[in-house]
Amino acid sequence: MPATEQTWRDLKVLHVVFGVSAIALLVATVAMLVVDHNRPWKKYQREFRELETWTAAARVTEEESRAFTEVSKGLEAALAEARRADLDPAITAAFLGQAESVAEDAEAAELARADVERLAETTDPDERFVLRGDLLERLRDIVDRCSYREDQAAGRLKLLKAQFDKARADFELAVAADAEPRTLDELQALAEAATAKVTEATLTSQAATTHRKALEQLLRDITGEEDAAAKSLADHRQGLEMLSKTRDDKANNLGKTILELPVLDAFNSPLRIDQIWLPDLTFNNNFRDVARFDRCTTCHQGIDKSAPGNPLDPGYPETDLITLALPTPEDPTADDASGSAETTLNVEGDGNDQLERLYGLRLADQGLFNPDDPTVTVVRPESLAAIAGLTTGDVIVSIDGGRTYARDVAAAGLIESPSWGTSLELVVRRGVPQPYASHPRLDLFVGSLSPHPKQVFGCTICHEGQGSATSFKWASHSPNSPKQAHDWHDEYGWFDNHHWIYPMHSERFEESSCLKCHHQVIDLEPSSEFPEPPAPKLVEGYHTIREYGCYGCHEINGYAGPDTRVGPDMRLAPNFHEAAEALLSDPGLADLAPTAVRLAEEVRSGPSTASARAQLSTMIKEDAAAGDDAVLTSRSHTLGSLLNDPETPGALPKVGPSLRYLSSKVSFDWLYSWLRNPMDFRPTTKMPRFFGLWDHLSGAGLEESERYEPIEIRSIIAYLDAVSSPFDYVTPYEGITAEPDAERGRKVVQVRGCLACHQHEEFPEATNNQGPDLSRIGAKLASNPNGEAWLYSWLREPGRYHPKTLMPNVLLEPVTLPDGTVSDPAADATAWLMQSTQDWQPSDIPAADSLTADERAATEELAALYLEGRFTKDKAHDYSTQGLPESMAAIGGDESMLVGLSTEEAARDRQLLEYVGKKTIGKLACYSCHNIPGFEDAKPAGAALADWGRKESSKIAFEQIVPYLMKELGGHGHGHAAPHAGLEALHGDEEAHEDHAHDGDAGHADHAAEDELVDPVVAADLAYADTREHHVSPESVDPDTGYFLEKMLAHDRQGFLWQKLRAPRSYDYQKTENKSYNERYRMPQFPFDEKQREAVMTFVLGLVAEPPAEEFLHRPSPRKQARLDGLAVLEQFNCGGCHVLETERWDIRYAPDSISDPPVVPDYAFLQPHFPKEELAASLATDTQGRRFASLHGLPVLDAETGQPQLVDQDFIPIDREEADDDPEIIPHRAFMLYKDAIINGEPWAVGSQNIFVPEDALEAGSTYPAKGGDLARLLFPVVIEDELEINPNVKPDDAWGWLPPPLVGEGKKVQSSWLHTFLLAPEPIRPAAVLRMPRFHLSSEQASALVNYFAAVDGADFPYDYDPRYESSTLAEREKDYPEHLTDAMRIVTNGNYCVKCHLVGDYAPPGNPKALAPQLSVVRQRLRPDYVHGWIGNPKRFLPYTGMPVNIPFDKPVSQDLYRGDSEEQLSALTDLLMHYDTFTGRSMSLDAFLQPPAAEAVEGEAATEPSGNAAAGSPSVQPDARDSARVGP
Amino acid sequence: MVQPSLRRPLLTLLGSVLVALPVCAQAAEWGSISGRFVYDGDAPTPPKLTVDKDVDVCGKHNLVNEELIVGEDKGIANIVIFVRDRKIDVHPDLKATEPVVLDNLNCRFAPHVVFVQTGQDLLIKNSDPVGHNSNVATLKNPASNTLIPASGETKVTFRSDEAVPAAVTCNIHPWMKGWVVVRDNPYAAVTGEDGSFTIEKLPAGEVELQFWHEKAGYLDSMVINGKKTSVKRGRMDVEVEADGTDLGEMVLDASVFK
Repeated sequence: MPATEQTWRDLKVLHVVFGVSAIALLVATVAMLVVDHNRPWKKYQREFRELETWTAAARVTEEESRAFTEVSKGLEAALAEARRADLDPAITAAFLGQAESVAEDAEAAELARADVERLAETTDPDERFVLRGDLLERLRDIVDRCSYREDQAAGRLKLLKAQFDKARADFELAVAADAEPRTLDELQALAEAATAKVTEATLTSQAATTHRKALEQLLRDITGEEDAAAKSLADHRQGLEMLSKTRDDKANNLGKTILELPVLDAFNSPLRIDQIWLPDLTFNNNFRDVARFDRCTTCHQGIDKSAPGNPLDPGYPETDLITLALPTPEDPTADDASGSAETTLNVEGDGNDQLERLYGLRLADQGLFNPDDPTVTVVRPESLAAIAGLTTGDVIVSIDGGRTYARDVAAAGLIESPSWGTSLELVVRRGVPQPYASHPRLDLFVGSLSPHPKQVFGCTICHEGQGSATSFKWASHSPNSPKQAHDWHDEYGWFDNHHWIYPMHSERFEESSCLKCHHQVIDLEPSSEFPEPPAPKLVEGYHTIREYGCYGCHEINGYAGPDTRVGPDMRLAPNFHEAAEALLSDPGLADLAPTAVRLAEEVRSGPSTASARAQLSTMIKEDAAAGDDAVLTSRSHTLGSLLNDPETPGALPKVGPSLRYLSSKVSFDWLYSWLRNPMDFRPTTKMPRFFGLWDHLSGAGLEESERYEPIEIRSIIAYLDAVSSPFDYVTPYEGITAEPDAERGRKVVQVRGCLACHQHEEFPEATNNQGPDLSRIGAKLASNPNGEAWLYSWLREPGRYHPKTLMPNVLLEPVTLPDGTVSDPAADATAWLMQSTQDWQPSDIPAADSLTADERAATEELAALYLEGRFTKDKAHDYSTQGLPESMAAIGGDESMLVGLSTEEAARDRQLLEYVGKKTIGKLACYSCHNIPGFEDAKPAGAALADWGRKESSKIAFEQIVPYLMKELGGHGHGHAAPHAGLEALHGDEEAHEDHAHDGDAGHADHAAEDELVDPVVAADLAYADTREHHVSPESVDPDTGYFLEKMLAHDRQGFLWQKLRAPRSYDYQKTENKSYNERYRMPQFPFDEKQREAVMTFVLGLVAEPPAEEFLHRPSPRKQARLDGLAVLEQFNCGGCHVLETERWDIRYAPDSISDPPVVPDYAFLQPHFPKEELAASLATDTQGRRFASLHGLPVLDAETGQPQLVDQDFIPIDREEADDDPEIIPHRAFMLYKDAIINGEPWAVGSQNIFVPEDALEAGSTYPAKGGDLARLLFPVVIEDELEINPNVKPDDAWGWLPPPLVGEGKKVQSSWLHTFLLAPEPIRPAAVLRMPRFHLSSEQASALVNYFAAVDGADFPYDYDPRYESSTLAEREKDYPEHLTDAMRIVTNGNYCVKCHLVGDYAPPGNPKALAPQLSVVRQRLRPDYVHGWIGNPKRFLPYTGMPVNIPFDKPVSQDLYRGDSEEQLSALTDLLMHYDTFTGRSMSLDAFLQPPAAEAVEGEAATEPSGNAAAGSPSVQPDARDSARVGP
Repeated sequence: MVQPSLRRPLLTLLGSVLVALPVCAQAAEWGSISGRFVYDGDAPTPPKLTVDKDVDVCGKHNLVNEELIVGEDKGIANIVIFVRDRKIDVHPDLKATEPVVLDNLNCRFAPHVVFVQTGQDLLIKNSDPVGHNSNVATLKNPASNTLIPASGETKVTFRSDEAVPAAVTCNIHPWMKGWVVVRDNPYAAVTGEDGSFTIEKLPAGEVELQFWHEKAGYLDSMVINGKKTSVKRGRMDVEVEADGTDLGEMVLDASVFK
C-alpha cells in the first residue's frame, strides 16, 4: 500500500489526548510535589526550628539584659582604668635596664626613658593617656626589634652551621680520597674556623633569645593588669557571641528557604528524615530478624536536648501547668540600682522595662506556639521572678485566678493590679507539646551520658512501634485512654493498626520493655547512681508477683537453655526440704542406712545441703534397685529423684506456710472459714479466694457451685488432716519461776522484733506486711486444743514447723526480772497473742464429723467426676459409691485411696472426702504455695508466662467476656445514660472538639465522666451494641476501665489479662453449660487493687523472651552484681524491716547564709574529711535563685517522744508543726545527722562533728530520697526511750540508737567477711545494751555469702577476702622489735579503770552495773572488725557512728598517761589496734597448757602389743599410739 | 544534796569572767535586772537516781534527779535567764580571764548549770576517783565527747553561742546530766536555790530577756506581781533602768513543770 498522509489515528484527537495527558501528568507531578512538600514531619521540623531559634534568642536577650550590660560596662570601665593606670616604675626601669644592656637597643631605650620622664611630668589625663600609649608602643617596638634581631641571629647561625657541615664534609671526602697532607691540613683549618664561627653565632643567638624573653616578660608584667581586664571582657562577650551564633545558625533564612523548595529539596535540604540505624538491635519481621531503622527523631527533634548547663535535665519538658507564688516588691516606686525610678505604674509601651524593674522579667513580643501567649523571655538572676521559680519560656496562664489570654493583659496584671508586698498566685504553662518535648529522663535514656544513648539504642527497642514510619498514624502510637484515642484520630488520623505486631506501649505500660534487658529486675530499683526510681511500676509488679507467689502456678522461666537467658527468671526453688520431710516420715528410712536419717535432717534444714543430698540420693537409688528387698516405699523412691541438682534451679520459695503439720495448729472450724473466704478472718491476707466466686454464674452452673464447693472445702480439710504429721512441740525452759504474763508478752511482741514484719491492731504504727496481721491470731489458734502449745513452739523455733520459713528464730531466752523471778518471754508473748482475737469467731460452719445425705450424695458425685478421668462413666459411678474392688489394689495413683471403701458410714465418708480432697488440692494447685504431703513432685498448674507479653490474641480464649463486662459495667451504675449519643454527636461537635484538643492547658481532665465522644475506631463495638441489651462504650466509663474495655473489644491481650486479674472466673460466663464442673477456670481471686493490677500487668506484658544481642543486655560489674545478689536476699528476708540499709539522701538547694558554716573539729589527720579542691569550689556555685546545692546522706534526727523527724526553729529548738504554721517568725528547719561527709559553703562537714539544720525551704527546693529499711528501729526509738526513762530520767535520746537494730551503713568496711558469714548463720549477742537480738534466719550458706558480699560491695571494701598486713604476726614482730612491751602496755590502757574496761566486756571480765552502759566484747574484735575500722574508731568513734556514746579516749593532742604506754596519741592508737587484732596471740602467750596436760586415758585396744614406753610423747597428739598413751599413764 | 556552789547566783562569777567581745560603742548608763522565780505549789522532793555503775564510789552520795530543784522558800533553782539581743554594749568591767570550771564531782556535774561565754575556756574536771566522759550536746559548736580519767581534765572552747543550753551527759554513768549555757555576751544568770537572779551592768534601755528551765523548756507563762503574763517562747522585753530594774516575784505554776 502506498504511503499516504493519512495517519492511523486522527491527529487532532491525538493532540487532544496528548494535551490532556500532559496536563494530567503535570497536575499529578505538582500534586506529588505538594504532598511531599507538606509531609507532616516537615511541619514539625520547621516548628522545632522556630522553637530552638526562639529559645536561643531568648537566651541572647537574657544575656543582653541589664545584668549583662552592667557586667559589660563594669569590665569596660575596669579595662579603661587599667589603660590609664600608672606604669610600675620599678618594672619599667627594669625593662629599660634590660634593653640598655644590648648596644643596639640603647638608643631606643634612651628615647623610651625620655618618654617615661615626660609622662611623669605631664598631669593632663588625656595627654597622659596618649603618652602612655606611645610609651607602651615604643616598648613593644623594642621587643619587636629584639625579636627581629633574634631571627637574624638564628638565620646566621643556620648558614654558618651549613658552612661548617660543608667544611667537615670536604675534609672527610679528602681523607677518603687520600688527599695530600697539606690539603688535609688546609681543609682542617677551614673546618676549625667554621666551628669557631658557629660557636660564636650560637652564643649570639642564645643571648638574643634570652634578651627578648626577658624583655617580653617585663613588658607582660607592665601591661599585666590591662591584659587581664581585656581578657575578662573578651571572655564575657564570647559567651554572648556563641549564643548569638547559635541563634543565627538555628534561624531560618533565605538560603534555607531555597534549599527547602520543591525539587531543590532533593539536594541537601535542611529538612530531612532523621534516622538511627541499629543493625544489631534487630526485630523479628515475619520470621526474619531485620535491622531497626528508627526515624522517630524526625519529628521528635528535641528528644535529646538538655537544659543549658545541666546535661541530665530535659531542655524542653513536656507541657505542664505549674502554680507559683510571685512576690511583689514592698515599694513599687522605689528606685533600683540602675537609678531608673518610675513613679507611675501604668503599662507604658510594652511594659517590659517596668516588668524588669519590678520583677526582673520581660515578656516576649509574641508567644511561641500561639502569638498571643504572654511568654516570659528574660528572668534576671536572683530577681523576684527568679526566686518565684519563673523561667524563660513560661506562658502566664492566670494571675491570681484571672485568665491572661493576651500578652498585654498579663503585663497589666503584673504592673497595675497587685497589692504590693504580697505574693501573686501565678499559673504558668511550662514546656512544649509533643512531638517537641525532650525525654523526661535524660539521666537514663537518650542522652549521651545516660546508659542508653540514642545512637546505640534508638527508640523502638524500648517504646516499640514502627520505627521506620514518618507519620503519626503509621508509627503505631498507642493512646493511653479512649479519649486520647479519639483525639488522635481526629487530629492525626490515628487508627489501631492490627497488622503491626509491635504497637508502641501505651504510657501506662511503657516500663514493660525494661525487662528485655534487665532480667534481674531489682537492678531497676533506685540506687545511689540513679536515686530517682527508674521503673517504679514494673518493680512494684515484680514485688507483687513475688509477694503473692504468682510464680507458684505460672512459671516464668528465664532460661531457654542452661546458658541462654531470655528474661526474668521466677521459678520455685527445688523443694529438697519437702522431699526430705516426706522421706523422714517413711519409717523405712531408719533402716536404709545408719546415717540416712541424719542426712535427711540435714537436707531438711541445713544451711548447705549439696553433699547430704548426693549421699541420700545414692542410697535411695540403691534401695530402689533392690526391688523386693527395698526398705523404702515406692513413693520415697520417687522422692529420691527430687534430690538431684536441676540444671538451672529456680530460686524462689513457696509463699504460703507448710501444711505438713496442720492439725497441730488449727481446727476444722477455722480452716473451713478460712478456705471459704480467707479475707473473712484476715482482711489483709495475701491468700487468694477460691470459693464463692459466683458473680458470673446463674442457673444450673450456680447450683453446681453451691452444691459442690462446701464439699470441696471439707474434702481439702479431710485430706490435709489425714496426711498431717504429728508435731513435736517445743518443751518450755526449765527453771521458769514467773507465770506467763500477757502484759509482759505485749512488750515482748513490741520490742523483740515481731513488728518488723507483722502488724497488730495494738501497734498501728507498725505497717510492714512481710508476715501476717496478728490482731486475731488468738482466735485462729484457740480453736485447736494444742494451739497455744503450737504458738509457743513457733515463737521459740519456727524452723521446727517449717524448715524454710522466712520467720526467723528471734532467740527468746529466759529473762531474770527485777524481783528475781525468771520469766520466759516466749510464754509471755504467747499469753498475750492468745488474747488477740478481736472477738472473731468462725460462723456458719457445718458439723465437722458427719455428712448429711445430700452432702454425701454430692461427695459421691464429685468422686465420680474425678473417677471419670480414668474409668467409664458407669464404672466411675459404681466406684464412687462402692469403692474400687480389692483386686485393683495395685492400681496406683490417687484412685488407690478408694480401694476397699469402708462400709462403716463415717469411715466411708472420710475416705471419699480424702480422695476428693486430694483431687481438689491438685485441681486448685494449693501445693503451689504450700508444702503439702503427697504433692512434693507436683508441677506448676498455670500457663507459663515467660513470653506471655507476645502471646497471640488468636491463642487467647476471650470466651463470653465482653457480654459479661457489658453486663457488669452497665449494671453497676457506671452505665452510659445514652450509649449512642456520643456517636451521634461526633461530627456535629467537631469544631468545638478541635479547640479543646489544641488547648494545651491541662484544665480539662481526662477523667471527666461527662458525655465524651465515641471514637469511630472503636465503633465496631457499637454495631455489636445494637444487638445486645447492655452496652457500655469505653469512653463512658472512667479512663482506666475504658482503656481496658477498649482493649478487650479489640481482643488485645492487655484486656484479657486485666480481666483475668480482676475476676478470673468470669471467663466462665455462659460457658458452664457446656463444661464439666472440673473443667471450669480454676484461677483464684487475688485481693489486688487497680494499682497492683496494672503493676502486675506491666511486668507480665514485658515478658517477651526476646533478648536483644548480648552486648545490649544489662551486665553489671562484679561489684554491682554482688550488690544486686545481696539485695535479693535482703528483700527476701526483710532485713530492712529492722536495719537501715541505706541512709536518706537530701539534695538540698540552700541560701548560702541559711546554713551555718561547718564546725571545725581538730582531729587526727587521717580522720579529717577529704574532698578534691574542685568539688569544694563547685559547692560555691549559686543558681539563678541564689541558692547553692549540697547532697547530704544521713538520717533525720528523731524526736524522743514521737519518734518522728524533728522539726526545729531557727534557734534549733524543737517545735511542732502547728507552731511553725501559726507563727510567721518561725523558720522551720529539719535536724539531720550526717552519715557521710558533706560539703557546705565550700567547706567539708565531717560526720560526727555536728548535726546539720536544714531550712525546710531548702529541702522543698531540692529533692529527698527515703532511707532503705530501718522501720523497726524508727518505730522502737521512742519506745525504748520511754522504757528507759522509768529507770533513768536523764536518758540521752541519741543513746537509744545503740539499743536498737543498728544502721548497717558502712558495715562492709567495718566487719570481716568471714565473721559476718558465720554471724548471719549463727548470730551471737554483740551489744549488751541492745533490747533485742539479731534473730537466726533460715539462710543457706550461699545466701549468707551474698549478704556478706553485698555489704563489702556497697562500701567499696575488699571481698570476698580482705587482707591487711596488721593481721600478720610478722607485722607485730616488727613493732615489738622497737617496743618489746608493745602489747603488754597496750593492755595496760585496756585494763586501766579509766578506759576500755569501764564499759567493755573483755575476755572473762564484765564491768558491773547497768547493761545499758555496757559495750561489746573486745576479745572477739580480732575476728569481727577490720583493722582500719578499729584504728579509726578508737581515734574518734563519732566519725564512724555519729550517734555513738563512746567517748574519745585518746584525743589526738593529748595521749593517755605515759605510765601506761609510752608514745604519742598516734602510737597509742596503733598499739591498741595491734593488741585487739592480736588479742589471741597476746593472751596465748600468758597461757600454758601445763595445767591441761593429762596422762592419756587408758583405752582397751585388744591385740596390740605395747611398744616402747614414751613418757615424753605429746599428749593427745593423734600420732601417739593408744598403747603409748597407755604406757604414759603408768609411766614416769 | 545540792552543792553549795549552786546556792549563789552564778552571776557573782561573772565579775571574774573573761569577755571576748569587741566593745564597740559605750552606753551612757548601766543598770541591773533582778528578780526571783517562785514555785506555786507544794515543793516536790527530787526523786532519787538509780545508781548502778561504780556503786562503791557513786552510791554513797544519795544522788537525786536535779531537773527540778525548789528551795525551802519555794525559790526555783537552775532557771537560766539571758539577754537575747545580739549586739549589746558590754560594760568594760565585765572582763574576765578565768576559765569556767565544770567538775565531775561525786558522780554529778557541779555546778548543775554552768555559764560560759564564747571564746572563754570551759575546764571540765574530774575530781572523782573513777573515769567519766563528758558528752556535750551542743547544737552549733562541734559535738565533743572526751574521756576524762580520774583527776584528769579537758578544755573546751566554744566559737558560737547556743540558743538553748546544751546538755552534758556521761555515757559511763547514764544518770549524770548537767547543762552548759553558751552566750556571746556576759549577760546571763542562773537562779540559785532561793530562785533569785541578778544580771548586772547592763546598758540602760530595752533588752530582750529569755527564760529557760530544763524541765519546762522556755517559760511561756508566769504570774508577775500578781498579774498573769504570757511570755511567748520565754521572751520578754525589759527596760533596764540606771538604778536597777527589779522584776519582783515571778510565780510559776506547778503545771509548767509537768
